[in-house]
Amino acid sequence: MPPIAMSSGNLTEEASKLLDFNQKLDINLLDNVVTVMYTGNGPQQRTAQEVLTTLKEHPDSWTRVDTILEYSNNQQTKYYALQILENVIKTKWKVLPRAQCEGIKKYIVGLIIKTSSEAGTLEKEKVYLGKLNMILVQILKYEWPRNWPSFISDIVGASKTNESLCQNNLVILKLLSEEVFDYSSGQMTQAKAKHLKDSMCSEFSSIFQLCQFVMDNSQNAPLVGSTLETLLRFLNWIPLGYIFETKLITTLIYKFLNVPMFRNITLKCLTEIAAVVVGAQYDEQFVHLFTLTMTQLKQMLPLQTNLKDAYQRGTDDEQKFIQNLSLFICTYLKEHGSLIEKKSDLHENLLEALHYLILISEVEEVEIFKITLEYWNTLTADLYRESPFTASSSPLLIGKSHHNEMPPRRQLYNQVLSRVRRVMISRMAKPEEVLIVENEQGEVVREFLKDTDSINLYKNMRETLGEKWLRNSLKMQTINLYKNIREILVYLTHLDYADTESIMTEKLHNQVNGTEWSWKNLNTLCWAIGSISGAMHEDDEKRFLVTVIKDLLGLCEQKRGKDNKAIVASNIMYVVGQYPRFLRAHWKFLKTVVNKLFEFMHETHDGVQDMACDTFIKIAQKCRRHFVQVQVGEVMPFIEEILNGINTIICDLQPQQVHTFYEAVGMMINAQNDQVAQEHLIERYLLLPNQVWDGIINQATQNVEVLKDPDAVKQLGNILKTNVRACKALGHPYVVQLGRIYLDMLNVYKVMSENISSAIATNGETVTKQPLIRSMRTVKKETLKLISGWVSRSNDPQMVAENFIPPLLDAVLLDYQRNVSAAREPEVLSTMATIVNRLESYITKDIPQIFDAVFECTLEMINKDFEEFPEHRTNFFLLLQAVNSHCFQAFLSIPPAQFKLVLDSVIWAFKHTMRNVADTGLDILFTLLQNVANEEQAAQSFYQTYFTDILQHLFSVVTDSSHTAGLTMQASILAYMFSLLENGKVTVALDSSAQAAQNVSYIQSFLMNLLKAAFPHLNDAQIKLFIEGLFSFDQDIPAFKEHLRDFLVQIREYAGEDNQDLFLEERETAIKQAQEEKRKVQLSVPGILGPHEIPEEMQD
Amino acid sequence: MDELTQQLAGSFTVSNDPNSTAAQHPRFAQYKSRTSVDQNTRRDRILNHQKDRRFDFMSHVRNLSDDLWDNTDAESVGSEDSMDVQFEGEKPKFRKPGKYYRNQLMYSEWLVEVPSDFEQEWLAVVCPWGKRCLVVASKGRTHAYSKSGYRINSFSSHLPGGSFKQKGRNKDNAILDCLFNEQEGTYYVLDIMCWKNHPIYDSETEFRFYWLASKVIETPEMAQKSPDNTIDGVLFYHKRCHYTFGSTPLVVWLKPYMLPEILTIEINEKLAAERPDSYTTYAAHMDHVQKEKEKAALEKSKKGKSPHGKKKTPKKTKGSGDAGEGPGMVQVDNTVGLPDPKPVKKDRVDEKRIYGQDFRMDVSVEPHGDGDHGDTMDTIHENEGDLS
Repeated sequence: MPPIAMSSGNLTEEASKLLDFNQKLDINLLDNVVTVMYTGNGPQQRTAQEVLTTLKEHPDSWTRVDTILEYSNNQQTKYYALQILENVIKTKWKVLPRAQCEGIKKYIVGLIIKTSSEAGTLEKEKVYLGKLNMILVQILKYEWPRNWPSFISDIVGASKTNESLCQNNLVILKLLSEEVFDYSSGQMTQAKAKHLKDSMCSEFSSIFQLCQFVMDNSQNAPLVGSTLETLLRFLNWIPLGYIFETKLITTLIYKFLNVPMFRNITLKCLTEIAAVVVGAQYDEQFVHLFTLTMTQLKQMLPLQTNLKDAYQRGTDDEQKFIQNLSLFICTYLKEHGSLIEKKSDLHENLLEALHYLILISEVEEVEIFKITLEYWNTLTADLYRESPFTASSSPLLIGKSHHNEMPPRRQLYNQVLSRVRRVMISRMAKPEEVLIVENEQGEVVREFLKDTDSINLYKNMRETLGEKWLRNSLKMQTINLYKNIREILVYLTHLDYADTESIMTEKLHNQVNGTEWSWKNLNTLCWAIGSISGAMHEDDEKRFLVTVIKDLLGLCEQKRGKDNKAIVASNIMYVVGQYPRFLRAHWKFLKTVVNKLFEFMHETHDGVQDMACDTFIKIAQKCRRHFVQVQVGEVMPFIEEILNGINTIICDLQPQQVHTFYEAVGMMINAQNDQVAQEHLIERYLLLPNQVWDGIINQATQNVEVLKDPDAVKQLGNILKTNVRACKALGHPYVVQLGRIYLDMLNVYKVMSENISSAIATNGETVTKQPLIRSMRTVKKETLKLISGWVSRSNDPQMVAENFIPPLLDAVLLDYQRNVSAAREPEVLSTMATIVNRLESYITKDIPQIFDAVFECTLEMINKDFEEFPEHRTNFFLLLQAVNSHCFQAFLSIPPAQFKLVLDSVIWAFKHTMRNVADTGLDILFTLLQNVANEEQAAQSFYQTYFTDILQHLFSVVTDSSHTAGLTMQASILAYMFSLLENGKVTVALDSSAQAAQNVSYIQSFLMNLLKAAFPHLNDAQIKLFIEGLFSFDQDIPAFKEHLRDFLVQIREYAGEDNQDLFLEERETAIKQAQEEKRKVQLSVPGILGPHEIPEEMQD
Repeated sequence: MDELTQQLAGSFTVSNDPNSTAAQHPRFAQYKSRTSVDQNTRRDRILNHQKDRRFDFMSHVRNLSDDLWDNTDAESVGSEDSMDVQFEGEKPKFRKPGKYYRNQLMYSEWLVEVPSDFEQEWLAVVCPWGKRCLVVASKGRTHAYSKSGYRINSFSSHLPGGSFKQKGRNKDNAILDCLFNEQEGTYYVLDIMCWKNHPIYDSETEFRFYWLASKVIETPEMAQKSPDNTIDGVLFYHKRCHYTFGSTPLVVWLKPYMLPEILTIEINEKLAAERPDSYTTYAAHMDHVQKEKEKAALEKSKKGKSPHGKKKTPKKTKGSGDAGEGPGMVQVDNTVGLPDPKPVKKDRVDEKRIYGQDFRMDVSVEPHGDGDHGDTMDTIHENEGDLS
């Protein structure tokens, strides 16, 4: 390769020659530019990239491809040329002259044959050839079968000339199968995909013969490998006769399964066959598949192999084999296990397969474990549902008698289930994950991930955290794993709790006697013990727990060193916390547990205080009532004792732990139903924070500068956090405390806000990172959090609206409006949204005031781009959504200019690429349209002003590929709008120069012009059909969505005169059919159609 | 079930400190915990061997002042031995302090067995309610740390090294054992471990208390009389006890309402009213405890173990319930050896405090007025500071 010695200026100049299509292509120059692009750096590389991109986008660039491929010596340049070609095929094939198409096709085919005919080049040019194959498949998607009907027979025929050619041809067939059957959705119109599938099925016999021929005769390993790979792709769609009425299954098992080189791909093929679900006609073949495979497997993999070790030591290929084996067994047994169960002579085989599966379940690889879990779940759930009674209801009833009671199916699996129990217990996953995150004050805090809220969290995290999500998603996996194992273990416990109990007890003894002692093992065991809470009868559960706790207490006493003791202690508390039913039934024990937790709250050993607080809140939640009742033999409820000693109990805890503690105690107080008694408790409960609060407020009254003292601000933040947790636990009754601090709190809010604002005014925005300013913001945020938290839990909207809202609006709104952007809390908007959502019509009268204060100034912050102030953005639209849903009347009373602003911001919202904002925007629009439709008068003027406008904006997002995620909602709104039109709901003329009756045709022609202008490469027939479809499918959202999707495929391709393979005719028929269907449905409901629409014969 | 509850209440611990004040007082608790060695025996052993304690206090003081822990004799996190292990032999093992400000203080046990030399050898300190914390003044700043090493607060004080305004701030320091009352913003000084780079961990209580009092007098800004406080309890220090880390039987603790029961000292009605309601059935309770004890003794005798050490009552204590308000209200005859309590206050309500533009503050120490009955109230309180 020639040395690269070009400056970037020089490069630009030279490269411009490449873009001059009147000159002969300088292939050396191009090679140089490509090399710079791949190996250079800085401005040079950038320039090279620019040149190459420009060249690629040039409409005539594809004419140079043949020259480049022929003369270039650089593999990367060739690859680049193929990219140009692929691009032109994907988008412009239909507009190229036919001669050119033929030329390209012949050229590519020739090139493929040349490259693949020799085993040497086939291997050496693998990547290049792969790209060529892909291009051929792209061409086929247009040409086959209409312009190239003989393609299948051509390729099959050619395959017989040469083994390496054959090998590559099979790869092409595989790619074609994938393109047509696996990835066609969204890439081809529905009609086209169907057409190609039909063509492929009808010509499959020759392909199958080719495969069979290779499998029977070839000694060429790579060729056989390719054939099996190709076959694998075919198996999920080919006519079943090819699988079950040929010798395919036996060939696979006898000839290839035991060949190390082919065993993985063969097993995958067998799994694919096992997944076929069909009537009884092939039962025999399925049984055959199972028995033959098992026979082979036993020779390859002796039953006594330790698969856990084998996996750990195994090569990549061996590991894959174990994984594929698990897939085969699970798939087969799930779909056809009942076939095997029915034949007692096959039970041995069945048990052997399950034996493999148990061994595989021990392999320490989460992905494989999950595969087996899915099967165990199906099996155990099935057995349980079949007869949901628990075997061996008494441990004395062991032996023959109770085996006879057992349903026969369960007898068959009994031994296996016991082994599965053992595996599940020893592989129990962590029930919850603690995330260590930094809060707004820069403190490191702990947050829990629990299985219960995993789904929402999962979704939110992916959207908001991005990078960090990756790390957390691993933790989510563990939680889901816990959920899976727990479910299985619960079924298994129902099926035979005595066995579960005896395994757990045995493993616990092994902890005590040291044979299995380790922190990890103990944790795992205790998670397992905790996971089956509620699965046993209460008496059995009690007996079991007493033993477990005793053993664990003994273990704690026996172990030396705080580390060990702390681990055992936290496991004891974990187990105890998992069994609220047991705690509720034994008050003295419960009280002792809680006192012990209070003791642990003074323990400085790592993590013990956290453990104590977490367990305390868990127990408080589940047993709350017991703490406010006077228990037998006692003189007062335990809550009194807690409140008496609260100072001492929390004195060694850190602020966050104190907050948790308060939430827990709040839950107990929440259980006191007597209002007077409850208010008395609340007063004592918050005495301590209130004293500190009063102290600071009193000083601030004398000298407001106190509220600039970092210590005081921090304390206020902590007190508010305590209040937030108290409110969370108490719900509406928290009102007594809120009333006590409300006005002072709002005053503090104002002072903090002014302080922040003046600090920013003096020192610029960087000052917001200072600890003091951060603490001040915390005070503001916590205030808003407290108020919105309480309002959302309140149960008297009128009282809230009258007493609490006016001072809040006075304090918060004006402050928000006046503040510099950087000091505006996005929580103001979310608080308002919460209030609107909770108070609904009671707040309608205040909406103009809220809007006056927050609307324009927020819009000003977010209308410059789609990114800045993301939280304000999200919350702003959530507020809009809330008002739209609950206080729609407010929209009717605001001035038209302001309403336009509202609608503009809704349109702005759904144009966002931030997914949650766009979704909110669409949601608001849909609700808004529905609300408007209910207001007869307002509706018509709304339609007149905005209908076509909204349509236009909607189409701009529908056709924008970055908004495809919102397609369902976009489709729903469009369908709704079209049905409004169609049903004559729009009685005002949308076109000022025409009548209302012409609205439909007006919109049709409006869309016609709009789409034609936007997509000049589409022909009229395509667009017309699309618009017609919009009306036909407007009652069927899924069909409407598919219709939009087809159109999206079309706008990516340039269509020529020849639009036969656009299948317009088929589409037209489908559209007509849909219209007919719709009409039929309408006819069946009297009165749906106007009298003029009803056919003559029905008139009398 | 009862047995299980008993087991949970009793022997289930992580640190296994006997008579831990985090748990209920053993005499009032429903379930007993088993301790291997009685309180008096442990006291004797510690007193006999405390001079043999080998620890580089000078370097420890440097660690605390500089917040540098790389080259240290302090325990790495969490590996310290439990008390049980400490007393496995005749000679007690003394705990080392934790790293990073954790476990730096000396803690009391419940007073379970009243020692025979209680009148002569022990000093009483009346404690107002507050969070126990370590206060370190060095390099112009004063920090307060909780038991677990969490920094509760940072401020300026008139302690040596505690304020940026001081000349010797970079070489001076002070390390105190305090109670922090959050409501009042007050620090009450309990004990002193170091003053101006001079560690006195291995000095006896009597000396440390004398030292504390004299330093307070030397620094007239420091002490200030405190207003009425709620009394949390009374600490009793053995006169000859060195300052050790973790809990020790040579410092013991009683809640005011326990004084009549344990020491036959009368208390006024206000204090008596603080006794938890569950004590109203004390007779019944004791009855129950007695039964439990018999049961436990029976079990123990089965196992061949001896029961607890004999409990003693002080020979000569008398109390006067009319002692008046404030921490001085527990009055014990001077011969009993009740010394001056040394609470010190950091007062938020001080009018002198003005907040500057830079939001900093100072803690100064003011001269104390004479407390009632000769009790000294030393308080640290925050003051205005323009400390840039």
